[in-house]
Amino acid sequence: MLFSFNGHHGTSSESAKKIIASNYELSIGNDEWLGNGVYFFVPGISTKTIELAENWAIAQSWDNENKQNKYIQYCVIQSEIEVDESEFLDLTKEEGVEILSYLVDRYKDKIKTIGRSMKFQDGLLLNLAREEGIFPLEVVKGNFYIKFAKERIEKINLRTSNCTICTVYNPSKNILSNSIIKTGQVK
Amino acid sequence: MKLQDVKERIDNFFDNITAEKLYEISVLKYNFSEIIIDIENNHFETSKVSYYPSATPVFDNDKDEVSGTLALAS
Repeated sequence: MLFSFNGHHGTSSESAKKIIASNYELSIGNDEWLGNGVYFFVPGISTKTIELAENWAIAQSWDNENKQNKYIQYCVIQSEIEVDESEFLDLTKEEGVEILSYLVDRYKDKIKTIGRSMKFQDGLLLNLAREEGIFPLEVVKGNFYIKFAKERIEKINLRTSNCTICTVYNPSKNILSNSIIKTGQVK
Repeated sequence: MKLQDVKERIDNFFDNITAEKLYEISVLKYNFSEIIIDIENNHFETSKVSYYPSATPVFDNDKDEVSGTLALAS
């Protein structure tokens, strides 16, 4: 069974043009989220995914070290994602969380036998599962609390998830189309 | 996907990998941090681990950074 849905990705206009021309590059190092992939806001906890992508593009423009925006023009890209059910891990549902929990338990029990104790992060475990071929994994979805500009400026740091994101590990396989649906300026 | 679809594959992976190998790839390839427990001071912290293969003859103090990097001679 195939799942198809739209995801929204906010970025600079310059990056958006490159994506439209030659597809996405993976975002490496998102250990606390869902691992090395391309990230989208998808319908779930919030249906306002275009607005979330826009807010993300605005938040990401700020260079806190140099106290200035890295870019002014931003875009929201709508991407059509398609994935087979057997390669889709949905961490917004009990059945998906059960898989991640089982993975943690088996990992923990194994590593404990040599007296080690590791810090678990969703993204690291998912990278391990995918890249070691433990099970087929192409798209993962989960609920997260993401800090946008308002949350960063006003130091709002809740535990309650505010959006649903999904990551695609192999864009050329699971992203069927990309189109820029909104542009704007960081003020 | 559901657990019943992938449980056998997960079991197969963990049944066939040694703990040492799992630790090695976790640290070297996937950047896992280790939880260090200092019982005497009742202190817990996580530490990035630099892993040195068994051929490494001595503990390399230059690699032991303030950030808590731990060199392992296995």
